[in-house]
Amino acid sequence: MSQLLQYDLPSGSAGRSRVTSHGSGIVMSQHEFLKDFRNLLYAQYIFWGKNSTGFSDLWEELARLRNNFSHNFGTINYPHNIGESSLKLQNDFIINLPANIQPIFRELKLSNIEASQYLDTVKKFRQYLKKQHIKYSLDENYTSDVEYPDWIQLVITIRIKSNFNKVYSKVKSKIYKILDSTASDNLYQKLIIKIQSH
Amino acid sequence: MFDPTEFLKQAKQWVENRDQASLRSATSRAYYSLYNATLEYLKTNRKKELIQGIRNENGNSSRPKDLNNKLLKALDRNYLGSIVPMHKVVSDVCHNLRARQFGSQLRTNHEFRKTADYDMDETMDYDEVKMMIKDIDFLLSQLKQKKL
Repeated sequence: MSQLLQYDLPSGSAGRSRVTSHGSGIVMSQHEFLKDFRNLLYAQYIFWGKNSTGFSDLWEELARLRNNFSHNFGTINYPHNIGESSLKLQNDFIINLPANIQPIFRELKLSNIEASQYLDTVKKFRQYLKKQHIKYSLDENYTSDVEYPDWIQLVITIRIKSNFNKVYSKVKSKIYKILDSTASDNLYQKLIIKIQSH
Repeated sequence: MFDPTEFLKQAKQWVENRDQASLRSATSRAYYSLYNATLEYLKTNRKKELIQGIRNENGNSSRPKDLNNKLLKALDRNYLGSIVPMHKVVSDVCHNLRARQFGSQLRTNHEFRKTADYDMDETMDYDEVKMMIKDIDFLLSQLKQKKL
């Protein structure tokens, strides 16, 4: 959790507002903050649906803020609760990742949206396998290269428990179709999908 | 010049021995048949993109190196291996050519190859290696048809 951004936006601040991050000391402009916040809301919309608790209120608040920002450059007021809400949304995505993946997710330079895409991808893999009545186990982990330790990748291992030879091609084809529809280029490039027999 | 797809023929023979040493060797040879064939394909047909991929990888590195343009443009194997992880570059270039699945399968098979060569605790499975070889056969046929 120490890698999470924490917004610290004083009321009425002009120009560049300071957004601190433990360790990295990122400074984010107001515009960047709004863009990031909008993206978080959009990810929330995709992942939990429009009617999830608090979503509508946040969306309206964002619209108001963006409008305010457009017309009053540099004089925007950030209600304290928006910063808290934004942090909560980030927490939601990160907390839902498996504990072993959380620490390296930021290191892989994956965004909050990509965290939601990742969760969505795994969810769809599981849904598909369940729907097909395929007995499986799914493991999420990461790997780094022996020769190039900086080359880190996420690994999703699907172990088919029965009829591996019979279902392998069908499963592989569907898994890549799901991936094509859920993952950004950046996420896709950092994922390894292993389909193995149990 | 040696045709790397010959490695796959060897892998197909070895896998039928079914013992662990043969399955591991087959996995490794099968991956290298794909990797080397893809690298040769990119050198011949997508040289510009390959060089750009190497530049990008070096630029994104935590410790980028000053590039020797002469050796870079000559695609000198020893030089390239000394500046960037070429297995990553090759899969990334495929990815950027909109062959995302091809790039992904290269990385997956690279992972299997690492397991086969380094992880002595793992037991290789005959059916899995057979499927890997079948997949690589298909990917090589895509290269022959110049589908990248």
